[in-house]
Amino acid sequence: MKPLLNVIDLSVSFDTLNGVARAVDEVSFQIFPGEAVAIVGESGCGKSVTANSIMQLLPTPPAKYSSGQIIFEGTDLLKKSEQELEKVRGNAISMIFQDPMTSLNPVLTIGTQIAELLQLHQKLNKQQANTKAVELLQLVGIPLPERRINDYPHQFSGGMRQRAMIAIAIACNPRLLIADEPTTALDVTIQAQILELMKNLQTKFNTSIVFISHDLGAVAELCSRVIVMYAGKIIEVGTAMDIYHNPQHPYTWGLLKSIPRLDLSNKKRLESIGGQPPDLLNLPTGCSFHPRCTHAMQICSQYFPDTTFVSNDHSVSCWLQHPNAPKTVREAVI
Amino acid sequence: MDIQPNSFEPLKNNTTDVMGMSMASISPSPWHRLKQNKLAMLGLFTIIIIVIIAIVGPWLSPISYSDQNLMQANRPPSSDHWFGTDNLGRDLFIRVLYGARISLAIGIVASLLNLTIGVIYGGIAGFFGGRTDRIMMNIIDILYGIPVLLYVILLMVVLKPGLTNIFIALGIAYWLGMARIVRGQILSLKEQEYVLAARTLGASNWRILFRHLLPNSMGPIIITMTLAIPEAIFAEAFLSFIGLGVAAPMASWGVLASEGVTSLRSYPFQLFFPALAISVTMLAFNFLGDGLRDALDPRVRR
Amino acid sequence: MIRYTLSRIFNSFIVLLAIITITFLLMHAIPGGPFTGEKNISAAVLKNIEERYRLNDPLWKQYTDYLLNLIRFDLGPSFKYAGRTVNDIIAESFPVSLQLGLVSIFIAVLLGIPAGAIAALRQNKWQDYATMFITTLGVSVPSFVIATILIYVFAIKFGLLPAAMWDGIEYMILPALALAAHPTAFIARLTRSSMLEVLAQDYIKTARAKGLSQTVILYRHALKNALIPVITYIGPMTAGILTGSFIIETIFAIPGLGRHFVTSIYNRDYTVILGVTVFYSTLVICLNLLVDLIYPFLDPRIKLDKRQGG
Repeated sequence: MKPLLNVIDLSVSFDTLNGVARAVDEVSFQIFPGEAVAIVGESGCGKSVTANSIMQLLPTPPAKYSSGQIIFEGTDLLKKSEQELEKVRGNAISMIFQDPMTSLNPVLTIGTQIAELLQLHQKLNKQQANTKAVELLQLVGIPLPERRINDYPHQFSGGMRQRAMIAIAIACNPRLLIADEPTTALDVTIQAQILELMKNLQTKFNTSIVFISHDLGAVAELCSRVIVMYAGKIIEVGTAMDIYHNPQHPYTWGLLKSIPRLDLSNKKRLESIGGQPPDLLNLPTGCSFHPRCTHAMQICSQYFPDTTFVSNDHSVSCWLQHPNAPKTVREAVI
Repeated sequence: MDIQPNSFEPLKNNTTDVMGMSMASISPSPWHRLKQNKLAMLGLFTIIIIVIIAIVGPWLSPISYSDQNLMQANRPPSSDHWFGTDNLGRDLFIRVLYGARISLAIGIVASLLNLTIGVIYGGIAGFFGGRTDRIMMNIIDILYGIPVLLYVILLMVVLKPGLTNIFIALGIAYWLGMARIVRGQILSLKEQEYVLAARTLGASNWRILFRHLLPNSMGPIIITMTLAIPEAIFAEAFLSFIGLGVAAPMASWGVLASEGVTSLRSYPFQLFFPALAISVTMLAFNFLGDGLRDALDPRVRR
Repeated sequence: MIRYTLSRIFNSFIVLLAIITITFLLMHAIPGGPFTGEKNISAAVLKNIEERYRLNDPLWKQYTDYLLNLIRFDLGPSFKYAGRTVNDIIAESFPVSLQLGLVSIFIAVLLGIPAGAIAALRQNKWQDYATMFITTLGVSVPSFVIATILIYVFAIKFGLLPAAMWDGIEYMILPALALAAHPTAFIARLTRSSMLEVLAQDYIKTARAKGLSQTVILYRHALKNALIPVITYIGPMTAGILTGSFIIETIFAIPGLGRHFVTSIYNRDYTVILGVTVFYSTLVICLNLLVDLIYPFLDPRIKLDKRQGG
């Protein structure tokens, strides 16, 4: 199958006062039509930058797309002009952001913010756009949509705002939906509802989804594949089954162990990964994770490991995969 | 790549704590950021030079600011009189130097008065909060609606022109902004844990206010003060212009400039030099103030 | 909404009353009467004048009389110009000041907002640096200096425009520019910083993600939000233009209220000082009130007693 989105060797850097930060470092991955893929990692690992790079939403400067290609439906988005990109944004690819409180314009009504998109991309007139906006609000589960359409964002609750954001995102039937931590700012019960909504919409419209999250637990239900990022690099990719049941990278082990679970006995403490995410301006040598890794070896501090394929669609970058490495008993996570 | 036999041995002293080194380089100190702002440093440098000239300059000069020489009246700038002379033959360079003393004194004293009143008022409002705060801030909101300069004029009419009265009039007119800033700072700081800690240790309200809260509000206070100084100099120039400035033969920059305006047609240099002095000083303070704001205000940081 | 409006109007009245009282007391705190300084007036004449201006009444009586007259919009007689009232002076000269002020405000808005917006859009580019430098100059150079430079260049050196008086549009240009310099610079700086803040907001990124063009984002999503804080500057700007007009009208010999005010300060014409202060304060307070009342219509977040949340 041909991938809908093919990111090849993408690097994104930021010019800061103190030097150049490589937020995304030679990242490659594919998204196929109709599939939902999660990109997970701690804050600052480059997952959000990757997501925002696809539609080139990062302000340049300070951001710089230093190399690579982003092939969407056969053309490289990085080569498109701003005008050409505008035709793709919100139309073929759309995006949902983390904080629904701040992602909607406070001085425009919800209706206006949905309708302007339809008027732009589908060339509807004002009336048609409004009718369609009501339908969309209905679709994302907002009660009394014909009345709420004239409300301002501050009159909506957090969950409803995120529903409105989703309505905006799906308005033009995009082929790809990028969700940048869409549930992080919400209450746990609302989180579940939003995930449920996204899942329903995905099956209904067969949209591909890139789901960015720092929480491996949240993505389990929605996504069939998982990409794990650390310090701007992809360190492990696999199906959800692979990642949950047969993770290979010590960092993935750490992420899995830090998911709160109800089925474990109370006596067992929730574990976290020691230390802090690294400073992108001052990355450790070799594998960036080695200072925090309990399995670190001499070579980890010298060279970044090659990608090893565990199976057809499960790959990992870790020296533990090397034939000469001691056979570590993988920490039991399940 | 060079794989050696020991390459796969465990890494010794592998510390999991990388916090210390990573955080330090992310946010450089305010002073460091200020130093990188060329305009702000230029402003600071200019202010230092002006202050030194204002203090030292008049001592080194053989003639006084009030020495008249009618034979030499209205002379254009020359090697004898760098800035020329005024209609009474007084040396304008010397008068501008003296004017610097007076204008800077007005700026500094007035802003110190603002600081005192503002810190006390804003400190009390922010610290005690609740009803006290509401009433005190209502009063500020009300006073904000009034054209301040009008009242400075009125005060000067009542108090009669003179240096002390200018201090008083400007000091009691421009403290509103400072009070608001201090109050906002105190309000947000007093919820911090170290204040709670101090309170648990039995520190009194005043001690907490002066030892803990105010020192931590210094950033915004310094910015406001830096911008209050040129405002006071500005206001004094304005007052001088409408005849409510310091009394002759003493002269601030404002007085010199307003004297220069009257003879603009024949002797433009008489306006040029005092106006230049005011403008350069104001620019310097504004550049420094803007730079300080960028360096100290965490919201601007990215 | 109605409660808010009423309480704001009530507040403004209290402020006004406080201002009148303070101003009144200040003017009467001056030792001696307004005529004591004049040596060529005989004791009998002085007594006569004081009778006429009721200066011998007890203070509270003078105060209540003044308030009662104010309610009838009567600001009393001028001390120095026999037979003329403060009302006459205001009626005659305020229209001139109003014209000048409105032209200045127009200039300030027309130049300041685009300059600030462009500086924000081109942050850290030469357009930004140029705007910031010029506006810093604009807030740093006193208006009388700007006025005299304008006169020197355009009137004296090149003789393009008249340097003084008030006799048509060409007489308006220089004083209006000089008066507008400060507010223009201020508006530009305000617009720039508020624009920068808005441009960094998430909803601008949402707008970009929707595929809206730069222009649409700028006009529909950024400018309106960015200009809301600028609206609150209307009150202080008017106050600044009023006080600025004292100097500008004096320099350009414009027969406006500002120049009359300065003359009355020189003359110690207390009723005029008192009257003009009250008049100007009322004007500024009313404008502030107006801004406060239209603000909720511009920013839906502060609709006061409408349903909140959902």
